[in-house]
Amino acid sequence: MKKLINSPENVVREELEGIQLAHGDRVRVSLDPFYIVRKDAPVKGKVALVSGGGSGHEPMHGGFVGLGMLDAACPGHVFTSPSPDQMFEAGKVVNSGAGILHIVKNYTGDVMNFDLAADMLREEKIEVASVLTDDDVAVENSTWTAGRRGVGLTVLMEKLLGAAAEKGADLAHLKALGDSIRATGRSMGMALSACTVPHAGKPSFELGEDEMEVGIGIHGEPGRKRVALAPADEITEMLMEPILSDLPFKSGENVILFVNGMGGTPLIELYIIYRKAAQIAAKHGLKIARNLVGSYITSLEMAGTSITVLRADDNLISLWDAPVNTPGLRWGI
Amino acid sequence: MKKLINSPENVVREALEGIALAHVDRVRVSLDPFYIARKDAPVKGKVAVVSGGGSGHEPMQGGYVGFGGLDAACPGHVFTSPTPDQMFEASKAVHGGAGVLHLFANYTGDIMNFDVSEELLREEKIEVARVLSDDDVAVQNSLYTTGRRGVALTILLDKLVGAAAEAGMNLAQVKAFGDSIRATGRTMGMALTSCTIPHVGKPIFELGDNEMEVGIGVHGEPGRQRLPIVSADEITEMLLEPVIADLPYKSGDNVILFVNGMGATPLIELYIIYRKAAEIAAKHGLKVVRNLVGNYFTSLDMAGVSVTLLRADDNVVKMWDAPINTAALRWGI
Repeated sequence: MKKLINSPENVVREELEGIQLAHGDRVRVSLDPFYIVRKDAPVKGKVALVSGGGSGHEPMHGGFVGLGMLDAACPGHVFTSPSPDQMFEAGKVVNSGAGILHIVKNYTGDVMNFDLAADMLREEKIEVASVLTDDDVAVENSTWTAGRRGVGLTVLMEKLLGAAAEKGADLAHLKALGDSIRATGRSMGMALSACTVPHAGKPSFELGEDEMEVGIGIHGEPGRKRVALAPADEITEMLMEPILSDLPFKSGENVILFVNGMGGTPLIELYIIYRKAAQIAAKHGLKIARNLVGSYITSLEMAGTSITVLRADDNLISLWDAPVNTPGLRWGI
Repeated sequence: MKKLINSPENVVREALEGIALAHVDRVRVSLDPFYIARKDAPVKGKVAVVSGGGSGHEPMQGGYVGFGGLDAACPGHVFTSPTPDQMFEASKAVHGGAGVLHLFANYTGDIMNFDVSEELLREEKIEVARVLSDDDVAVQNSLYTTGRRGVALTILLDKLVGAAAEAGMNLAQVKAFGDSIRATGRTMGMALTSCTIPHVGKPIFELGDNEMEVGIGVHGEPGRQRLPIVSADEITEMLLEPVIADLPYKSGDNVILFVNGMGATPLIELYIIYRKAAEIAAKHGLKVVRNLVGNYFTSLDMAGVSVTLLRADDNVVKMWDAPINTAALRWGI
């Protein structure tokens, strides 16, 4: 295992210390329990957005804390759900009286622990609603989920709901908006290589020199099929076509197209994927109103890519364009 | 070789096509010869800042083209200098009547080709000046350089010189500002793994399972020493102490601290490096006034990190904070 770490058990704590030192102008970090909150939280009158999940997917979620996005992020250990006390404590810190919205990726452990935290918060008379992402069209049930896995759409969800919350939308409105985003976004991913969880010390699965896994999850969960390595254009088709036919996205629709790297994939390759994805979208009559290209929801050093398509009406485009100021995503301010 | 490409010979062209599709709101891409220019170029009365170098270092340089950054970038093939016609055509396309500043990293091939392009531009009565980066303290001469190699300081130069040009400085002033940054910035890097050039098809050097190369160049050039892997904190010391001692940075200096990933290093590890780098800087009495953490100057799929320090007076901080709107760096707008 080759990693820039000191010891596997301290990876998340030391990362959080680094985030505090680097981004102290924007965030406050708690080390007991682990959470990252907006420096100016609680923001009076604003619904507080709280997300979380296992570490190893950076910049998600901690990199998305700040104006126009999340109020708090709760990182678990690598590929491990955060515990309820993290969301409970973070929720209390960022709640300003307008309620809390949980954004949860659909993994059994995450769903359970966010549920427990929501119950604890409600006992404190804090209103909590929850939005789920389950955008991965690759498989129906999986190693760690009942139903579909939540993947790349989560990044778009956090940006869009963050903008709506900043504009003053109330909890019910945000929950409805989140559910509509959930209903109209789809993703699929693939991997060229496995990743190594620090405390495991060896790759989480094996792939041959000429093999790739299509439909991979963000923890290396098995996908649809293991096939021979193909050119980038064919890989892009293998991801885009199932996404487009699943919703289905229809000719004439405006969409946000998001090409994401899994962590170990160079940007030069992501643009080659974007090129073909945009061509395929055009062929289907889709109009790409906005896009995002880069490594935003990763699996440690896994090489691979995922594609997300989200239907985007004028309201979503205006929320997408709204200012955001986080370490991982920033514009307009 | 596992890469998301179609064929090695088309990597740069197809990536440029992807950039054109993804960032059409900001840039124009020329495929013959290869260059990326600001969409609104030429900007009348502004010094045009033009960079270039081999591909494989993305987002450098094309990702820094836009308002407050570069006016044009000329990508060569992977790890290969761009040719004089690229800089000649790009410079002519973006020249707004106030002269052209060429900004690039110190490699023999780049210097030779920029030299030729500058002669051609002067024949067209276009004024040209030049700022080099040669910030790598690891080695004096190297495989591809006379003198020190230009590495991650180039990114800070792109940002700061871009801001100075946007602020209306004339060519002599922008050059003097760039030279002062060159004189006060230092970098050193290391690698855990090699990288694979698409048209070569195999790693450009071999590192054992327990080895790392300290003082590596951005093309995998040999560094100072090959050693057994040690902890992230020790690695950070091996990089930052020579950086601080070289200038030297002195107690009380304000600095920008830049922790850069080599392409395949997860962000979670870069924050662990940042944590220790900030501690070491504090121990030396340096005040970190601004910072940058991420994969900004890469070597394809190499795993590793570099650490850059730049002395930052009030003017440098002001130029750093000025608005920038590029694919890879964006704030204030």
